[in-house]
Amino acid sequence: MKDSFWFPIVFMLIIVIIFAGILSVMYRTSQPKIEAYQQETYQKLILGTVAAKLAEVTEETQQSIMDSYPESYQTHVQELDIPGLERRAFRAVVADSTIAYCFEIGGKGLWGTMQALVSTSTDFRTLLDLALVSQQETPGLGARIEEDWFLAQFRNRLFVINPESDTDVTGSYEFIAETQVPENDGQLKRVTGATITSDAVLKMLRDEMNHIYNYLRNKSL
Amino acid sequence: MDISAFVLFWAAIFTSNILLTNFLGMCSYLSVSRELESALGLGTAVIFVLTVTAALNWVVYHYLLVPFGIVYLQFIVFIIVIAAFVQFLELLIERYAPALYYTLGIFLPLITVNCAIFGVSLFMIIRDYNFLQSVAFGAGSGIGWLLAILMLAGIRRKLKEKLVPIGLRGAGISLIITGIMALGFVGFSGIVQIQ
Amino acid sequence: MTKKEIFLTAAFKENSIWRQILGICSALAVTNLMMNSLIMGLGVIFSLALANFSISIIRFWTPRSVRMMVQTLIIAAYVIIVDIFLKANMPEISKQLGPYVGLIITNCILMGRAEAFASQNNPLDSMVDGIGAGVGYTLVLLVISFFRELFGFGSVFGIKVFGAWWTNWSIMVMAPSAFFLLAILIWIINTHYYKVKA
Repeated sequence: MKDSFWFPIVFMLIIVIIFAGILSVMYRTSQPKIEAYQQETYQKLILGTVAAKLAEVTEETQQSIMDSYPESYQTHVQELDIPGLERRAFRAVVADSTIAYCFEIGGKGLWGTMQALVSTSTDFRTLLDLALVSQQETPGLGARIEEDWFLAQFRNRLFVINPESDTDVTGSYEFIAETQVPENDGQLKRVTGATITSDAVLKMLRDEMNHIYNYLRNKSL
Repeated sequence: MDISAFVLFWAAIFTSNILLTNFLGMCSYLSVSRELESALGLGTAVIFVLTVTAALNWVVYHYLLVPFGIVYLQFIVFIIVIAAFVQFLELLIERYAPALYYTLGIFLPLITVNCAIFGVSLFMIIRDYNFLQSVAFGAGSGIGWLLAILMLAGIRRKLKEKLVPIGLRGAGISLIITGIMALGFVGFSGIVQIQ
Repeated sequence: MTKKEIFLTAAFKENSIWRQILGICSALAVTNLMMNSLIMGLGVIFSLALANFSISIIRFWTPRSVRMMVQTLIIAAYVIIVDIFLKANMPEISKQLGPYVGLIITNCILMGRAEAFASQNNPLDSMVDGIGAGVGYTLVLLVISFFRELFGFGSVFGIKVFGAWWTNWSIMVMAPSAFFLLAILIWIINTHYYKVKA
């Protein structure tokens, strides 16, 4: 029976159905949990990028804003629908007035696409903060772009330096070694051993900020 | 992704060599590199399987998994496609080219577990290649793998095994040689960006 | 063989990496940090144990022609199950394991043990063999990553051990170093453990 023509095929099908079934059940029962967790992480990231600005305007500290999630998120963050921008956009509000914006951006890394959240000032010219949503870079090397020292380089940085430019509204930057000290604003420290990934982050920021700034500069939100 | 399939093909051989840069496909590589002839045989089979399965998996992913929302089964589906294709190939060869089967036969099951093949399918999805790019990537990766195994087999043939310390013979020295080759290939990186 | 003998043989005497030269791909990719090695190792132990167990249960009914496909399917299924379970219940750990899930499925060790042991022995023995092989694999990974992390980052499990005086050896951070370290490990073990002589 084992050597007949049909038995192997039937056998395979049975095994496939059993395991695919188990996987489907597991997947569907855990989906709500996973999605809830992912949404919470995402919202906390957004909150994190605007927390510093919120702390400036309100009387709370950054820490208390983060700690009082989800209330702080519901009070201060609103999602915007900007047709044509093709990216998710949010704004941070304090008592009805907008104090900052946050955009989801993406770009190609070394191993796959990376997604990030970038918060900007209300004129879209200054980067307030940068947070990585997902990346697939090499753990221990490229993945170190999530480390605070690297991301902090982009905080409170006037990024749109040539607002009138047709080609590139951002400034020019060069990467220096992680161990060196930047001499001017145009120098950024790369992650040692992860040149391509570091370049990819910068390229993503520049491409995305160009797109966002050019799209929004003459529109009112 | 706007890299031409042609560039991708060459990049897959040199700058992103599936074995020396991404370290996939090591197991059969280490064991079959003793003889130059076997290496050539296995490598050729790998090229064929890689190209076809890249194409097959691309079609399956975009026309079956995505429309039906069962992307989470992609690992299983890809592996099954690869295993089924190799099995089918083995049956074909056994029936229609028995001489080839005897020289090649034992290597075919080895190909199923070659992580390079699975890796290529995963990469092409992660990097969002279109069909032509995927096929070029698959073919190039296969040739890159063949290149690596031929190099190692060639070196091992010339290696005076007597001079190698006993504990290092076989796997040990192969690993060191591969490490040096990998270092050499690091020099290629950055010439062409395939992401 | 007793369970203990099975375990010890799978973990040491017939260790997957240094004896059978299997599972090299992941041994090179994840050994840059000890934490990554540990997590990968745990994932492999779980998947190996469960996969061996299942494959052993159906071994008398599995037709020869689809044997490898069945094994591959079962292995892949368990790895994904482990991944989904982690995503839902231990999301932080799952985030670390994420990129490695695919690597476990094609880890030759799983197929190797399935072929060599599970398809010919009873389920409980097979599970013990799976755990043993996984533990042996994890230990090798931890040893290699110990050196790579120590000399490449100056830390152990993320805790900085060397002070600021230490210059990181970049080569340890790049994968070729894993080739060399593994070769040295095999050398030492061949010479002392197996007492390989001329």
